Amino acid sequence: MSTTHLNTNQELEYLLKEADKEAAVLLAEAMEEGVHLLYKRYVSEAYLMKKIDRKKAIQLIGVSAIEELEDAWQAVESDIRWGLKGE
Amino acid sequence: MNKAITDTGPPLHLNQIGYIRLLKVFDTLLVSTQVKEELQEYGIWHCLTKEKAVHLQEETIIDDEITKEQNRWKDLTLHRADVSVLVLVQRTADALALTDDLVLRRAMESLGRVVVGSVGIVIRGYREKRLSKDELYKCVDLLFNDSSLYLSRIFRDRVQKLIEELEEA
Repeated sequence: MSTTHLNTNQELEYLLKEADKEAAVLLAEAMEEGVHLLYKRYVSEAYLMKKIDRKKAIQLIGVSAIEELEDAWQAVESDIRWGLKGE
Repeated sequence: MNKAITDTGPPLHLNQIGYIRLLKVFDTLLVSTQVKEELQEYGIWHCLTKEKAVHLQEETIIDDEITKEQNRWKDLTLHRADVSVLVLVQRTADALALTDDLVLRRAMESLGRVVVGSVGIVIRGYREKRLSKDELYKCVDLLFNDSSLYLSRIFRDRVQKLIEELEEA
């Protein structure tokens, strides 16, 4: 199904209208979720770019997140090899 | 004969970045009835039929076949269209399989099939000189930033680095 992409202001406006929460509470929630996502992304990037080792990455975001990342990366590597060399 | 069975992902993602024409790296695209319906819902079937160099071959998969196949993969989260691709893969011995869905990819690999995603198609397009090097980097950038591909932009820099390394090898 196709999704309509709203910008951040439109999404916030929707939440303020529909979520039945104070603006401050909503913003605090948004901050917490946003920071968590950013944190996961930065740790993942650091691991993929070999700036931190596997052990450290697992310590920071957990083994399932790292295994998921490795699985996806393996698929990308295999795609690249097939694309370049026809393997 | 360069044939590929595709699910909805690669045509969808390549269309989102404006490079659906790269599917021309295949002579024939085999599409199940269920995948065709999804592509029509997204408005992509029309784009595919416009790309005349891609020969589209629709394969009818009946509900009974899907129900039977679903039992085999009941531990996995697969939609009916995904299962129709699995039926088609087993019916067609000499075709590559295309998907950007990791679960479906692993299922098809477990059947011994070579599976490729949008990243592979873009890179093959470059190897076949359908894209310049600048366009290749632009495509990779768009795939990781602008499409709804399961992969996030976390991969973008590493992919670009790996392309350079493999090219030098």
